[in-house]
Amino acid sequence: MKFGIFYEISVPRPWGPTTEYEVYQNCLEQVKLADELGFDQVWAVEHHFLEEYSHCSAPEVFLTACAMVTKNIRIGRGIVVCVPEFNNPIKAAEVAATMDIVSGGRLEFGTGRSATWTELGGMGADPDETKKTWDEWVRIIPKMWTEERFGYQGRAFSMPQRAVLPKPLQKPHPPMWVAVTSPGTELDAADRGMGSLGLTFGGFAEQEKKIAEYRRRIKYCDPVGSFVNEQVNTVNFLFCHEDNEYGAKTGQRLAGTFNYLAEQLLAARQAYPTRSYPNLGLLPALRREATSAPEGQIPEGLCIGNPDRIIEVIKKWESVGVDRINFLLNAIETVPQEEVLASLRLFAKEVMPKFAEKPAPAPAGVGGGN
Amino acid sequence: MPDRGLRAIEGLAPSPFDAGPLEIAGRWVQVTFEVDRDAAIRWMPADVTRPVPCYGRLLAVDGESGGRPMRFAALALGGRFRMMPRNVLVEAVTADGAALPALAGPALAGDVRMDAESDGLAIAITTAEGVLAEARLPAPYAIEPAMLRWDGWVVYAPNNGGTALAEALVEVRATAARLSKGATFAPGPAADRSSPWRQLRSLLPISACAVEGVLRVGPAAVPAPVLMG
Repeated sequence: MKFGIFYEISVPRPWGPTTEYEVYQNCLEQVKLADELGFDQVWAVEHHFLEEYSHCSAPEVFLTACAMVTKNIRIGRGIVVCVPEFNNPIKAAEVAATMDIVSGGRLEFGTGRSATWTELGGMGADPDETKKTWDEWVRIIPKMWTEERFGYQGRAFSMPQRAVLPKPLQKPHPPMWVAVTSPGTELDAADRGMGSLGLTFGGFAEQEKKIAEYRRRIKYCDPVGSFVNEQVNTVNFLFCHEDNEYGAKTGQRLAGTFNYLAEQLLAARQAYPTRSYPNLGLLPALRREATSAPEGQIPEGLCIGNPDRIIEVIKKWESVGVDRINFLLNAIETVPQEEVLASLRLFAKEVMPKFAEKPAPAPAGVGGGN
Repeated sequence: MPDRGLRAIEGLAPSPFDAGPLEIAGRWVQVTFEVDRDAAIRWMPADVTRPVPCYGRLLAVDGESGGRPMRFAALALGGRFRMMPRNVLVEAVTADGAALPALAGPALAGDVRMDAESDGLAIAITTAEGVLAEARLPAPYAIEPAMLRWDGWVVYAPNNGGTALAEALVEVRATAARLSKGATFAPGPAADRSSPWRQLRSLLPISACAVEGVLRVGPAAVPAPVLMG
């Protein structure tokens, strides 16, 4: 099990002249500490126009800053919106390769297509088209990285033969992921040999079923990249405190605030009937999660409370097949920065060692044989 | 935290109040469009938060209920009530100006006409002063009715001597549905600048659908209080 941190970068009103600056500085401080504590990855979203919920429209810049203040933590572009009104596939490949170079080969490359009318409508994108352009981009971007010169005639994108430069430091290229908010997208990930970057909150049973199907399908995949990235990444909330009651209460405040903000968004499916978005994505799961536990009880699966409780929860996630968990640490600064940092430290001290990868046993006859 | 509405709700509950349900067999149109944020806040009650972006909904109905013809139009705002997306009633237009069962709230006397045109569907909402608003659904094409989503409504009900927000859920049994991209919804001459039909005009169309079947709204009920949303 690997652990990471995950950023929407939510900014509370009232928005003063330095509010966004302060939130970004807090995030960078958390990332620097997480790197020192041994967290494996940091992810940042690409969202546009999502007032308070996410002020992270240029994650490549934020993540490059993260790379510059850290040494080991991997840098997760989570995700590139593969829709031409948002981005351009050549530019996306170039920026990703540059991030991989300047981070010393630490990039994880997430892909997706946006799920809100807030963003799709704001960019003038047609919700009926996003699945098609996403599918095209995830097939051509790894070729731009690996082929010396690349040319393409496609449905929504074409380019004459050119050398797309620079090339990523990681060879053959960084691991590729798909953001999974809608049920069924994990199968799209599996069929293309991509990692499942789960962005929903669900119960153990629901996730276990999805992961089992992902594992089954990826065995027969036709990978879009040069290798298969069979990994399941999920997102969770983290607030770790010695006092279980205080930890749970603060963590529930964090989760409730995040869900309340998410609720204000306009899901594509909510306003625009299309087969491309067969359901409401993240929002119903958040509503269920927010209301699933009886009063006074912690919703199933949340990593909030004292270390013992969090260890039990993570063991359960491990048992259903999750490879990585990324934690949301705050929402509109509802948790004071010092408490966020203390939570990270306590988690690293008491929880992470329980899930440290065991060293592989030395082969017989090699070393230590005296 | 998200913006809350500013509309005072005292006096918006109709008398007599009819919780419904309202069941109509016939055809109806739902138009969804983006509206101005400041105008939305003015027409939204304080217990409702506004979504990002703010959007409005027009429901125009032509059918029969209880064996009698029924035509009406209801203008709503998309809002979040108790963590759920809801159509928050702003104002209705009914034949006699009386509030509708279930969709209880302010109502004007008027009429609704739906006319098939060569390339689509036209809806005219009128009062004694003339055309209040018009909607056009160009080039509608058939879709599976199951693709459509029907949010519940927030309406106004008498409660403990005052007025409270009530929820009226929607059930649809559709036999046919068509979707139109690029629908328009615009105020007419009878909507002056104080009218919600002008203030909440479409700034950007999102979607519009025309449906045939049975539409059931309500009954309207005042929910138990909650801490947030």
